[in-house]
Amino acid sequence: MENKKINNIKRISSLNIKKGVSKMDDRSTNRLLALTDTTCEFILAFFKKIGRIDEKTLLTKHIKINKDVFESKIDLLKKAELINNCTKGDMRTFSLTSEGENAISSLGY
Amino acid sequence: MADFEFTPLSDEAKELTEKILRGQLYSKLTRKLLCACLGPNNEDDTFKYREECYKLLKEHNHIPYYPESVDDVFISRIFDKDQNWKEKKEILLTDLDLRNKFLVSKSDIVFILITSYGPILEFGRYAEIIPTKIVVLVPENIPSKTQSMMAVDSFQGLFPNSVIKFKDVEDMRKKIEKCLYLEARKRIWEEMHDGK
Repeated sequence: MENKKINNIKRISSLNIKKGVSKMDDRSTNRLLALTDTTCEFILAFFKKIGRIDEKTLLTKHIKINKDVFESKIDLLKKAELINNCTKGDMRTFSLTSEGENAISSLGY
Repeated sequence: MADFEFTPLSDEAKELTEKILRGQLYSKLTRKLLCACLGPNNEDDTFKYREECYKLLKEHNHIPYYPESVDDVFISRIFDKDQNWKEKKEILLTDLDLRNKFLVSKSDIVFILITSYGPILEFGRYAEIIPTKIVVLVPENIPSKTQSMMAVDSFQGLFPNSVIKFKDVEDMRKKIEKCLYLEARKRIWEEMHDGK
């Protein structure tokens, strides 16, 4: 019995590969929120379909959305590490991270 | 699920919006998940969370179970009826450890409430063999520097969607609901993909 306990502790310790992940609640919660939010799901699926896209094209050609709502969704997706954005001048461009790609693929896109 | 907070303008956006709606509705209506509820026993103060998880799964018409209280009828229900299934069932009914491994391997999701040393051992046992099925439930008031939390923290580093930290029962229920929805969507997609 004692040996069994020791072995289990060893197994747990062997999981301790990635050190320094301290904000476990934030990361998981943000992903759960982002992947179950309809607007976030749309944004992820759209980026997957269309590839890299700039903010102006997205908001003028494809969807009409309140600016504050849009910013909050983008912020959530970034915190969840599902999208990247890079800025050139005053132009923001979005794309999926590899984790974002996997997450949206697993939902059937 | 929440309504759309935007209006689609282009044809691509309209098509995608319809696809999302269909996917959400389909997963709500069709999918039953077999879910293990692991954690402290009923003498522990935190058993109430485990019980609440079980109740919630029942309310959503999924199939929850406590591994320690399944009977042979339950096992028969989830057994693949191949030619040796009766012999296999006999073995499982006499070997508790093997039976639990069998049950969790058949489950869609394995919820583990981690509040003490016992559940962390269960977590260690299953994290190695079925890491992608595990969802760890942790109350926020557990001190973060204990050995249990460090193990959960590491697990979350590897499987970021698999840890639910909650404030209270209500918070836990909301997060589990989201988790079930996501799992149902994934399962449907996997089944459709396999069928092609």
